[in-house]
Amino acid sequence: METNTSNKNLVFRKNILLTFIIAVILLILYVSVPGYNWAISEMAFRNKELIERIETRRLNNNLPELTDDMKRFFKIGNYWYLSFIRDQTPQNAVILLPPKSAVDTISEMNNINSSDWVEYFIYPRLCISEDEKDKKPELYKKVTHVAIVNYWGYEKLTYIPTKMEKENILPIDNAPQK
Amino acid sequence: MMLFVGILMLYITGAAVLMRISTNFCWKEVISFSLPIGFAINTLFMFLFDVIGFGFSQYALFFGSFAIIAINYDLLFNYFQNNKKHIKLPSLSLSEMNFPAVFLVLVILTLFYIITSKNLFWPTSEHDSIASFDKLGMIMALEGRIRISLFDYGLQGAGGIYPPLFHGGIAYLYLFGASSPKIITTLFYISLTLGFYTLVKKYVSPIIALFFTLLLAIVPELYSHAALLLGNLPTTTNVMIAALTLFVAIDTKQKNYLWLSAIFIAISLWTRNDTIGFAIAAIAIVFLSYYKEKDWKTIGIYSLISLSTFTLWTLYLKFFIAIPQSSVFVDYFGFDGGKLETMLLYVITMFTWLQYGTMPPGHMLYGVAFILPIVFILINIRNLRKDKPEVLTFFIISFAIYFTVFYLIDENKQGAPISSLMESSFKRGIFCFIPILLFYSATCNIGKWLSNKIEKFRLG
Repeated sequence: METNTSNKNLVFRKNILLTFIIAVILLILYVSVPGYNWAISEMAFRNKELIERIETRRLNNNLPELTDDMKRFFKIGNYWYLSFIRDQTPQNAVILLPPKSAVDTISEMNNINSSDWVEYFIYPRLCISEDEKDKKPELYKKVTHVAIVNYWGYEKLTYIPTKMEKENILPIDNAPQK
Repeated sequence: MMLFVGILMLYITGAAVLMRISTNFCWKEVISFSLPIGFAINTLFMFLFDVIGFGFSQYALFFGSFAIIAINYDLLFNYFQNNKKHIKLPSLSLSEMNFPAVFLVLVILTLFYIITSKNLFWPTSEHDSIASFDKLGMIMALEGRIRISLFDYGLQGAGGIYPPLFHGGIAYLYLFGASSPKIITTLFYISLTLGFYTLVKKYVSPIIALFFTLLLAIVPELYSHAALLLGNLPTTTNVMIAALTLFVAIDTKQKNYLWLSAIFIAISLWTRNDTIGFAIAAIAIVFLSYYKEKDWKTIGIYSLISLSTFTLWTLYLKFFIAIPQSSVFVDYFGFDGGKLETMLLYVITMFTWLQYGTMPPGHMLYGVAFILPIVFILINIRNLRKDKPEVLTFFIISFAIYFTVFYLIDENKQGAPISSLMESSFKRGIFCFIPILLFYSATCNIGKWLSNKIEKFRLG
């Protein structure tokens, strides 16, 4: 009986020692391999803290739970503009997006020239970038609206608008949309 | 609620198909393997509906899955009856508890919880997902077909020509009411880690199996993908199960693992057709293992199952998608020493701690996931021919094909220099090789020796 108990104690102590050794190995890996350091401190814990901060602020201000749409404003710099396009155009609109050269200096408007990327936010509307006009001539002919970005796009309109804002979404001609 | 039902249906449908192969899989294997099979079955249903011109919906998929479950109900019920006694918590007695294993499980679960919180909190924001996968999935769910209307305007994105498992899986989750489909990443991450652990544990103690599972789960670049909606992690999961079950099949001569491996090769090719290198490597291994016995039937059936989805999708692309695709490969094969040197330097960078170009070194991207296996291979160099040669042969063939495919890409046609491809696509595609190398490290003679020593010390 006594031997059995002392055997169990020994196994218990060896288990604890082994756990300690594994913990030390993991700690060494964490400290010495920068990739693990980045994954754990930046990717895991810093992101967890950020989410907790957002949630705490929301709860302190008695705000409702954040929707995916609201969260996109944190992640996508030009989401306000994409929402604006969606809100200001009919579902059958075909939107002309600016060429890369018109937006490549404005980090906020990153990807706004990519029709593949913008389509996700505006479906069922269609879009085409000015850069694609030779690649997709049929769709280009169907353009109903022009995405005005950084004053680009006013020259594509068949009329002169009363106000020229830096960003806007306007019909390509001022005839009533069918 | 419907989302929960949808996910449960995926698991049960996958388990039902798994039971058809064999009822000898343990419950951890069933959980791990049934999810990808469930997604494959449902995307196959979507594919069939699309081909016959009938729009799919939540009800159509639900009843399709339900039919599979009903057909295999007896097998599922018997499996549950026979295995429920094995589903139990480990001993909670302090003196009997395997503390190192419990500690490793806690570390893995903590890391899993944190990355999952991040994954499920943020909506999709990755460029490739917005421009392609999530968009395809969302619109597939709305329009009820694979060849969505965006193909008519060239707005499908780069993933449009990919086989439908990943974006079809996203569509499935949308159809079952998901507001964000990012849970698909978490589900595949569970299958990846649980599947790896279960297959490694066949050879070594739980401590070693968990330690290597942790090394896999925390590969920095892969870990970051556990919070992104990209296809690389699901592809890694499918390739991992295909490869590891093949190694188990070769090692133990169990045919159920061989057929499972063939099915997972088919599922990998149903996720991305550029995993063809793994299919060729797997068929080569099966050929080398069975040709001495002149078992052509096994070789033939394995090859047929493995390449079935590749053939199916190639035909679908030709006859249904029918969009003109220009090849990105070189027209004439010529030796390009500069390109080869650049690629080799990048590979050395990825496998070690050295730096080349603007890419972070290998230990920053993959931790010790490549360095440790290299060390194990060097220590084990005298036994390479005797000790699990199929694992290293599989790695060498598949990596050579993977490398060659990138070498043959025409930089002008692709519109990107080889350095840019190495720092993006190649860097992510290399995930698939990590479980294979970690499996080798854990289960080679050195891994087993280490495992025995630890267990002897712990219990002695």
